[in-house]
Amino acid sequence: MGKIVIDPVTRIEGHLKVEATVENGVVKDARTTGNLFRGFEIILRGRDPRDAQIITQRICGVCPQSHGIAATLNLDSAFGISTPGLYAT
Amino acid sequence: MVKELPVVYLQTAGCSGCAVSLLNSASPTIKNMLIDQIAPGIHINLRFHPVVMAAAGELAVQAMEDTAREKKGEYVLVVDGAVPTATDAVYGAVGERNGQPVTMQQRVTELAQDALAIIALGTCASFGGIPAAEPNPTSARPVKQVLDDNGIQKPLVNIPGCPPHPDWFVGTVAGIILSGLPTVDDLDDLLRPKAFYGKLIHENCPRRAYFDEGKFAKKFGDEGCLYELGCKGPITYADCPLRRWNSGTNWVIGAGAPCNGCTQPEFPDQTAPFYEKLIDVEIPTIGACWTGKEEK
Repeated sequence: MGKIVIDPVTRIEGHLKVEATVENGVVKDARTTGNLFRGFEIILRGRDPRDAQIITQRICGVCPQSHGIAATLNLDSAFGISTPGLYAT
Repeated sequence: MVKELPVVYLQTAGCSGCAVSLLNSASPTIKNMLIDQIAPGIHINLRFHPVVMAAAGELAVQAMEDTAREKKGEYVLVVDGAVPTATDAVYGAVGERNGQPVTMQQRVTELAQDALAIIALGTCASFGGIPAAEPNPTSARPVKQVLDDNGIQKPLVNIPGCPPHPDWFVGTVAGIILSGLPTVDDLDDLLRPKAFYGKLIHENCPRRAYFDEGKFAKKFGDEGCLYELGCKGPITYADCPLRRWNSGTNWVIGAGAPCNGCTQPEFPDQTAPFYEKLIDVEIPTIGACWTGKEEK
């Protein structure tokens, strides 16, 4: 039985560690660890809600759009604004 | 013989946006930058960069540590991200040593100690940025503060921006290669290269004439200056209006959105709310004077 640790995992956004236990060439157990905590949920508290779509984009510089759009859709929903054709309500 | 300039690109508390922006460099392309001689007889040898390197895990960390050991005093350290320092810096780690995680703070101090020079790429590394926004849950610090706290004195250049324009980084590196490390005269008081951060957005803004006339957009899509919709151009130093983004295609105000002041140490807490007008203050160095008459 062997343990494999890959830290850091590269060619991704962020800081990731993967540990796997291998037995006879088969992965028996695996766990991943995010190696960075920034606390976006804490940082967002108490701010102008419209700023969320700019701040959440900084969660990930590889896929900022998805976070920005998710925040925007959430704001639309919170303000009771419907945007026909964009998403099902 | 081709001279090698080893570079270690360390990512700390950031989002990889700076790295992605850098990969978008148009002239030279990132491929030319990494494969060709960037200047006659000089080749950038990128030894460690988590977003683009093929190696992972131990091999990757080994490349980083070997560079620090074998190229002492010769390599350029690029730090992309703020440095979490709270609770013994436990909030961020890069790789392991003897089965224990090595904190980002430890990596930065170790690598900075033996570097030729350090480039803090992005607003997080330069000033703290988003991770250091109120209430700064992880006590994220800019690179300069970490160096100061540990008594490390090395040449440091800040290249802020969220993300920075690829030209700002490439231009700075080209400057170092062609004419040596920047002197005090090349940098402003926030250690930003004056060549790129010398003027306010407001000074070169194509909507500037509207500001001087007091013609302000009241809602998005309106003609006029975006000042009342939250534009932070009057307090933000960068050459975005002239350089523009995505190979010179467009830029934020060209697309009708207000500047959010991302190259400033005030970003994001003092430049937010992003869609609220700046508090009316005497704004120095903007040149023309606005008399303050509003058209309702």
